[in-house]
Amino acid sequence: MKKRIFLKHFFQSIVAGVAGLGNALYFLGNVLGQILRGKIRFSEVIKQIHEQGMQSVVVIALTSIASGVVLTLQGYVMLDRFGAKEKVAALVALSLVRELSPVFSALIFSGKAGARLTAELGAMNVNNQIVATKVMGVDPIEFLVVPRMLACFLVLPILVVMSEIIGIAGGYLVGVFEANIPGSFYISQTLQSIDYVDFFSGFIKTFFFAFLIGWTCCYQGFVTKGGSLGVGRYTTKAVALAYILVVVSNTILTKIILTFWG
Amino acid sequence: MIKVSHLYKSFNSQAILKDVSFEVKEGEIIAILGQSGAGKSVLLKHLIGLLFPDQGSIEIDSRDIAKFSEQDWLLLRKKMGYLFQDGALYDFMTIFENTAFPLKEHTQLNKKEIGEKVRNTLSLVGLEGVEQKYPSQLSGGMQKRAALARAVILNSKILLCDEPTSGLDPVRSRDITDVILNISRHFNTTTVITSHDMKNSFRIADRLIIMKDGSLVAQGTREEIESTDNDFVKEFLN
Ligand SMILES: Nc1ncnc2c1ncn2[C@@H]1O[C@H](COP(=O)(O)OP(=O)(O)O)[C@@H](O)[C@H]1O
Ligand SMILES: [Mg+2]
Repeated sequence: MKKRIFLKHFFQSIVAGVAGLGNALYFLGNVLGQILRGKIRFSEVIKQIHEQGMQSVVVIALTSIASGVVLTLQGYVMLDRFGAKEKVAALVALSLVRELSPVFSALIFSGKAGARLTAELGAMNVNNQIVATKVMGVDPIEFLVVPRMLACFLVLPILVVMSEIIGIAGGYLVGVFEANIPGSFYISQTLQSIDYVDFFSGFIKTFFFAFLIGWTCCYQGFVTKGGSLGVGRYTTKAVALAYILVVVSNTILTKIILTFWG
Repeated sequence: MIKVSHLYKSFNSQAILKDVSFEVKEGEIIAILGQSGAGKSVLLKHLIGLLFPDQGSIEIDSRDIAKFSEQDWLLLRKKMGYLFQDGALYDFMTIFENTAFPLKEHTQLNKKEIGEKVRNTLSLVGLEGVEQKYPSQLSGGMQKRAALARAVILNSKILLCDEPTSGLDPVRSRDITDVILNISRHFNTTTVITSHDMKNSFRIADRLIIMKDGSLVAQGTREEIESTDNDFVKEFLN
């Protein structure tokens, strides 16, 4: 008996999951359709870029400089054991550019800008502002969603590059003032160690992350129901989903990129 | 102007509208009265294509909406205004921007013309001097007025109002009802109002429709409704 109920719930949640994914894909199709037809409100995109960027920039900068500092402190100790302490600049730069900055920037971005996207659209939804848009003869996807998703796609890569520069600067501070590495040596080591491949293998991932975060968070906002409680529920759900998508897709993307570019 | 025939609608196999038929003539004001949960909002949403009938037909301007394309809806919606229960103004726009939104989207008017039209319409609904405020800075009644201005600013031919007096005290209920009456006369709209506020509905409606559990139990003028011997209507009136 218990087993039957369990199976029933199990299958129900699978069906719901598949239906949810179907709806999310349909939503994405609508968004891409509007973009391909050139229905882009550039002033709205700019406004969104500003808002999303401003919201995440401080936390990402702080995390970046802290990571650069810690990586250098730890890296210096570890490399010293192998007698390779002069390689610390390269270790820090490569770690940040290939992996750390794209991933933690994406995670922070999900929690800040992504949460905002869902909460904003969700609140508009429960207050009927999205239906009202439709009733006024304006496509809510075109007016409210396309600018937000496009802004996501453009902002995150910019934040990631900024994060890499700030992280490397943090490493420089430790390297020069703590480990007494000459500044010019640290910089030349950094620049020599980063190849195009290193930069782009990390940078390409940020576009996938931005796309996944924008899609998940906008979709969850767009289907929010259940009043202000619903806004809270869907926002947490969207952020959790975005986290999972970033972490899982990062694993897959890293494997693929290393296979082709290792 | 609007003709609903034998409309049926269910959600999850629960019948919400059952065999609903009525007509609204051009320029008329109709009030749909019924208790909460009677299906008034669901009915109203059918008239603007937010919901579609399971059975039955709806004609607007002598055209069957079942045959409407997306484009037809777009054109029709420009001629229709819908006042949501809570106004549904954009909270990231000022009152001015909210009211100007349909003009910016659907007309070629320049900035000056838009400004003039917005100020005129806002003064018709009795809102002056709040153009630069955000909706959250206004009372519920004022938000509804602004939403009403936005709903009719494209010179709507049809105005649908969902519970315009709910959540307002008796004085403000009376005020917003008068504003709706003024607006309907000024733009000569065909107006459908849902409400459970009998007093105000009786004041402005040319005809009334009484709904119970998804069915129409009575329709007619005030006098006809008041002289009916239907038990539910009698009870509802008291
Ligand atoms: N989208 C929907 N899905 C399922 N049930 C709905 C939906 N919209 C309304 N209902 C149900 O239909 C009934 C009538 O609702 P409504 O038209 O909002 O009543 P009211 O007369 O108070 O406006 C209610 O029982 C409500 O729960
Ligand atoms: Mg209702």
